[in-house]
Amino acid sequence: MVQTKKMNEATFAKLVKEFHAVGELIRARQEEKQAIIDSFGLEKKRYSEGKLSKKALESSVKKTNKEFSRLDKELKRCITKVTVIGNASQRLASQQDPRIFIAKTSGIFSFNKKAKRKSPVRKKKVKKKFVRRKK
Amino acid sequence: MKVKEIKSNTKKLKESDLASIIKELHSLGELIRARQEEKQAVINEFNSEDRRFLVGKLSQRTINSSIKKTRAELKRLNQEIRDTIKESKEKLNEIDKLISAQSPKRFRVSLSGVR
Repeated sequence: MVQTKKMNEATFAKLVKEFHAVGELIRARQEEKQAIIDSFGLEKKRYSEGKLSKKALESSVKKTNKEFSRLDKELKRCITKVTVIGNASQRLASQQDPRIFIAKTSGIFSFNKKAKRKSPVRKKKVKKKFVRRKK
Repeated sequence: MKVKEIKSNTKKLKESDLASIIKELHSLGELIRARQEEKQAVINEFNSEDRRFLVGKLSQRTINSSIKKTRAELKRLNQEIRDTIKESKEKLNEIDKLISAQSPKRFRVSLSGVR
């Protein structure tokens, strides 16, 4: 009994789910970054109004830059993860390239579309004979 | 003293766009599987007809007609599967493009503000 290729739907669904989760994570980190910017903006405003000391603002600057660095790193990691998931999905989709079947009175047969490659035959180098010319 | 307000915005992923592409990708995956199952059904049907022919319950003319029909159906399904694979690859590229655009904008704060 010939069988057609069957895509593993569970694997595909899992990949799609991962895409969704990573997308949400990216958006969450972007919003977190925006919240940090806004929070620093407020602190800067308080400093300008004289409600915050320079030392406190300096500490805030250090903390904020550290947070930016962490979030950027996380965002980059998420983007890489999406590429990895994308490659896995593409591989899975490519594997579904249909098998060719031919119906005949004697039954149904499958055959590979790609013919086997013959290994290239190396040509032997013909050595030229060195003939001395007669004087 | 007038306070200068900080207006720095981060990049924001359009979640609705991503969700719509993912949804399309999911439906394409389901379509591939459906076509594969349809192909299997065509093969099984032909096999049972062929068995009947071998037993002598079906004429040569009928089996010939069935062969022609089955071949055409298999060809159509193969083409549809290939098209769906191509489309799903396009969707994956769209996702890649959308996500790559989210590469983080670099911010740095100092006493003077956000740069």
